[in-house]
Order: sequence, then structure tokens, then C-alpha cells
Amino acid sequence: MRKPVLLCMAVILFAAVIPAGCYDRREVDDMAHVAAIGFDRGVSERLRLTLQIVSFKGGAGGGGAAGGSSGGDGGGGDRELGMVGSTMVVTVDGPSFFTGLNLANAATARELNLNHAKLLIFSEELARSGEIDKVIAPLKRYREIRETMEFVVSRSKAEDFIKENKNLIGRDPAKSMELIRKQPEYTGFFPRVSLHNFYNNLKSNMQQPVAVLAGVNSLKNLKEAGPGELPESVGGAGFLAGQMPRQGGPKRERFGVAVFNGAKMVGELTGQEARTLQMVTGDFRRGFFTIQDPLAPDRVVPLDVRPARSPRIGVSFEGKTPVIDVRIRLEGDVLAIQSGINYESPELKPVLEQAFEAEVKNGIDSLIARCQNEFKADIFGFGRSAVYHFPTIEEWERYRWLEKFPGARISTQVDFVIRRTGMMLKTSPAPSAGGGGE
Amino acid sequence: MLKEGQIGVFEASAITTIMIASNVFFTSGWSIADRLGPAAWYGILLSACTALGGFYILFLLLQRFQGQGLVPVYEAAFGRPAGGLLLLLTASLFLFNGAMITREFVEAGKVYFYPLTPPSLMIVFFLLAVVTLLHCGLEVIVRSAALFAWPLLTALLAIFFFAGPLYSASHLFPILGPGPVKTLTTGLMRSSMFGEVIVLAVFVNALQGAGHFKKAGVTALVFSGALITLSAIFYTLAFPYPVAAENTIPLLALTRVIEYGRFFQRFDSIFLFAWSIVAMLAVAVNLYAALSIYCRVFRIDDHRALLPSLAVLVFSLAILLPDISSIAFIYVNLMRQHGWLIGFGLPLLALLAAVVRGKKGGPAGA
Repeated sequence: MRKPVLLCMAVILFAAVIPAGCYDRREVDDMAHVAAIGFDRGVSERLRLTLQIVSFKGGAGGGGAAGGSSGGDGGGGDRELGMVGSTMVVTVDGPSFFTGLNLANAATARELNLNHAKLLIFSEELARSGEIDKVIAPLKRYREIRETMEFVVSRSKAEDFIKENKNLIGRDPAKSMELIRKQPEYTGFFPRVSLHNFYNNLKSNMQQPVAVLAGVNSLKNLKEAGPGELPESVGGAGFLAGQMPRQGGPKRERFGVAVFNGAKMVGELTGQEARTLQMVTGDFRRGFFTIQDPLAPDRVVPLDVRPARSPRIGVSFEGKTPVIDVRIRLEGDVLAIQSGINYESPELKPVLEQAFEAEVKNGIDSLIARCQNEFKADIFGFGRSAVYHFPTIEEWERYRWLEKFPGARISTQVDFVIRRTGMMLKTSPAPSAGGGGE
Repeated sequence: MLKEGQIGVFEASAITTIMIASNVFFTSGWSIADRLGPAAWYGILLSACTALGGFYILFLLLQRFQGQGLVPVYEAAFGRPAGGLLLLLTASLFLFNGAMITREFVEAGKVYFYPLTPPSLMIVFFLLAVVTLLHCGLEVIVRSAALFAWPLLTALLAIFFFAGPLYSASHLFPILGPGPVKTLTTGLMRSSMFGEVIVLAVFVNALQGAGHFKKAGVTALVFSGALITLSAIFYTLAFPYPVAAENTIPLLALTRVIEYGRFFQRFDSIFLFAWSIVAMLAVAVNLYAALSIYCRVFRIDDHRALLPSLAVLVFSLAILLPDISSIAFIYVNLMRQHGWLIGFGLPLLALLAAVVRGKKGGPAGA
């Protein structure tokens, strides 16, 4: 009887000791958790590595008070120490990512840990150099890097972007970085791109990769009222990251798409084009659009648009030339009718629908033309439909889809249906005495 | 004689399925993804069908020697010295397989979870669990397998289900992969992946007859074939073929990219749980089969006396394997390409020898 009891006690004691301490035991508080990793071309070495490390100090409110041009980080001393709200930013030059990591670690008492990093950011300069694959390769191999990290290209230096990567609402910088990735679900102004997506498309011979386009906004783009300044476009999103006309909020900004041909960045898409791209790839979830009123051109009609069905891409071949048919089906709700024209009626509803269809079709056609002529990159993934026509890998690789894409004949069709008209079924015009205003 | 108790069809199927399907948790099963790309899944299906044919030969052999296990059958068919030698060769395959899974488990553990822990320490603790199972005997091993079979299946299916948003049907194309000839030859050669079903022939006495043996074998081959094929389909759906061949442990790579918002991510913990149990059971049953054959060949009554020396042997073999690249590219390939010779080739040879020499039924050597 005593023997089993002793054996049980020995096992329990053994089991209690083993999980409590081993070679890989690390206390959470013994580590410095990196939230964002930035890459620039180095000056004294090949690569400049910027790490944003969560300091867990709180207090500064994750960016602190909104006042001041610095966006709320502490005083000048704090800025010199790299404090950005409740995070610390360390920048080093190194011959490789890993040496840079060690160098950055030399400056911190705690061991750097990348397990909870959310953001990978590359400078446009580095992305355009065509060497991004060399930077990504070690990241894919390193166990602390998760492929779910957001993949971003910054129009400014990655270091500058990270220094402005502050959260002005809430205290948790990691939470902000995760929440911002959900933004494409309700705006569509930039796609959701992870290291996994980017790497897969980088290595794939069916589609070229894209990245989220980011930038630092000077917050001086918002024009003040002046004579003769009327908006030319009613779309409202025809600009790139860092150019958004706004005041207030953090300076870091994600808006648009960085287009790659292989490992080389070859162009940028605006926020509006980012939405169009996602409509074709099937990643578009929802967005507010504003179109010109078809019957009252000086007025606009905002619409809440979402996909009705997944896009249908058909690929056939005429000789060696690919022929691609794109059919996009969208639906939406009317958000406002400035003109008071009764577009809710069954007679006028198609007029509004056709106007939006034409606007989206124009956007898709012009984006396809840019991708074929300017970027020569199939970022839509048409190759994913073309591959069905090739029985073996050898035949598919011999066809060289990515080289054939610029010569493809592509036709597009957009169907749009207004499903709901909000909380109003009819718009009654406001009576006016006439003669005033204009 | 060695007392193995009695095991049921479900238990026998469970342990054999875990033994075969353990491939999907390691580097082993995936060299086929490298060779066949988008055609890997039906290459595996082809291997499973070939293995069913091989298993039928094994069944015919055991049916000819009703009520006898692999050891007396080989001894009867080839004669005791030659049979004993071939049986020791079969035992070596199980032993080496056990050592290889141990090292793969440890290497993968070091790559993903415990980079600083010395491999020797990990092997020691892993073998402690395995030796405990071996000490308890076959019944405990197979009942543990039966107990964990459903949770393991649920964990695997959960991973496949939650990875849904990552799938793209285009990754399964070009549908013929590198071409039908290469797919066919690779599929046939890789039936070795299922050759471990021969373990049932070692335990056939505990299984109580050739009927149960047949049921358990077919169930295990169908289930493991379906599981490995499904794993290949879902993995291929998530990664285009140029990337699919790159990952060290494909299933873990798939698990690591699952993400549903802020709270529903890092599924590695599910994988880690399933992975450890599968590795432990797979190594235990491989080593038990090796021990069982060895004990029967040398007429040793109690396998427990051999456990300390077996543990030292497995530790030495596991630590001798130089690195993960050698394991993945040399040893795994060797086992997967030529393992069928022992799994299905020897039983075929034994059947032919028995027919030629007119040996059948009754006690060994009769």
C-alpha cells in the first residue's frame, strides 16, 4: 500500500518541479514585447531596423494627450529616449535582421520577444529596390514571427512611421494595431494583407503581391475655404496614404495599396482604387460611396455598398491570348439624396443603379489598364482562374501567366441593386421661395 | 510466452490509425507534397489503395496460418534461422521508426517551442512517458489510443475547419501536378507510409483471430488514408505549391496562420496537445512492436526486463541522427520509399515461401 502512495507522491513532485522551471522558462515581465518591426535601407550597415516595444508604463495614455505636434509623447527628453506614448522606439543599423535584433536588445535590459508583434513595415525605398524578398526570407524562418502580422509599405521611412504610430484612443497599443486591421471591413480603403498573403503571392505564379500602403500625414493637407475651389471628384478617396485632407488624429495613416511585381514595388493605388481592387479580388466587405446625382449633377448621392455575390472571373484563351470576363455583383442602400429626386421609386431606382454601375465599371477598367500597362502585374489573381485550364505544372509554368497578363483582353460587367433606402421610403422636396442662393 | 491480453477491433484500429497518421504531424508525410504539389492528395489516396492491396496479402498469409502471429508465421514459412533474421529486420524497422519519430518530435519542439532546451533532456523526458506506457503493456497503449482517438480527431478537424478562410481552390491546380506518370509511381512507392499496418500482424493473438485482424486493418487503412488525404487537401488549399514544400511542419504552419479577430488566434496550443499525444503513442506502439518481435524470436517471457536497455538504445539512436535536414531528406525518404519492402514485401515473400514449401496452419514450424 505504501509503495504506490510513495510512487504517486514522487510523480506529483516531479510533475510539479518540471513545469515550474526549465531552459525555456521565461517570465512575461522578463521580456520586452515588440509590437511593430520596421525596415529601412541602412546607412552604416545594410539594414535599418526599428522596433516599437511596449513599455507597459501606461500613464501617457498610449500616445498621451493629443496636444502638441508630437502627438502627446512626453517631453523632449522622452522623445530623445525614443518614448512614443506607452511604447519605446529603438532604431539600429545592422547587416541583417537578427544582428539588428541583438543590437537593439543590447540597449534594453529585458530580452526582446517578437511573439506578439503585430506589424511589419517596410519603407517604400526598400520596397522599390526589389530586395524585399531578402528581408522577408529570415522572417519566414524565425519562430517568433507570426505570419498573421500585418504587411505594410510606408511612403515615408519606416522609422518615421513607427515614431508616429501612436494610439490616441485607449491605452493598449497592441489593441489599436489589431483593431486598425479590421478597418478594411467597413471602409475598404486598404486591403487586409498579412505576411502569409504577401509571401504566398510573392512565390506564386498565379498572382502578384500587394501590401497595405501607409504614410505619415503632416495634418496640413486640409484646405481652407477659398474662391474657385470645388472638388473635381465626388468619390472622395482619390489620394494616397499621407495625403488625406484632415486635421487631428494620429499622423500615421493607412490608405491605398502598394503594388509589387515580384519582389519589387512598382506602383501605388489610391484608397478609391484599393476598394476597386478588392471588389475584383472578392475581399471588399463594405464601404460608403458618393456618386454624382445622375439627374442633378450638382448634387451627390451617398451609398452604403457591399458585395451581393463573390466576383465571377472567367478565363478562356484565344490562341495564346487570355480572354478574361469579370462580373461584379454589388448591392447597397441609399444613405442620402441631396436633390430630393425620388430615386426610391421603382421607376427611378434603376437610374441611380446604372449610374453607380457605370462609375464602378470605369474604376475597374482604368485600374485594370494601369495594372496591364503601367505595373504589368496581375494583382487581381486572374491567374487563379487561368490555372484551371492547365493540366500539369509543367504546362502551366511553360505558359508563364504573369508575362501573358499584360496582353490579356479583359471585359468587365458590374451589376448593382439598391436593396434598401434607409429609414425613408420617399424624399419630399423642400419648398423654397425661389430666387435666393445661387 | 509474452502476455499481451486482449484488445478490441476499435482499439486496434485506433492505435494503428494514430501510428500511420502521425505522419501528418511531422515532416515525414509531406515530402510527397514536395514531389507531387497539387496532386499530393490523390497521390496519398493511391498509396492508401496500394496499401490495402498489400494488407490483403498479409491477411492471406495470416489466414493460411490461422491463430498465429507474425513471428511463428515467418518462422514456419522461412524456417527458424532465416525467419528469425527477417523478423529482427522487421523489429529494427519499428525500432528505427520509433527513434526517428522521437528525434523528429524533439527537433520540431526545438524549432517551434523550446529553442534553448537541450535535445537530450527533451528525449529523456519524452522517453520516460513512453517507457511508462511500455511498462504497462499493450493493453494500456491501445486503450490510451482508443481514449484519445476522438479528441485527436476533433482537434485535427478543428484545425482544418478554422483554417477555412485561408483556402483557395486554385491551389489544387494544375490538377495533375507533375503529371500522371510521376503521380502514379510516387503514389505506389509511397505506400510505405501505410506499411506500419503490419503491426497488427504482430498483435494478432491479442486481436483474437484473423477476422478481427482484417476488420481492424481495413478500418485503420481507410481512416488513416482519409485523414492523411484530407490533411494534404487542406494544407494544399492554404499554400500554393511553391510554398507548400517549404514548411518544416506543414500542419503547424497551417495552425499558426489561423486568426479570427483579437481573441480567436494562436491555435498552436491545440496542435501542441494533439502533437505530443500522437508522438507518444506512435513511439510507444513502434517500440512495443519491436520488443514483442524480439521477445518472441528469443523466447523471452517478460518484455519489461528489456525496457532499460531499449530506452538507452532509442536514446542513442535518436541522438545519433545528426540534424533535422538529414531526418527529413535522407531517413524519412529512405523509410518512405523502401519501407514497403518490409511492410508488404516480406509478407508476400512469406506467403510465396509457405505455398512453395506447403506450410500452413497449426503450431509454428508444423
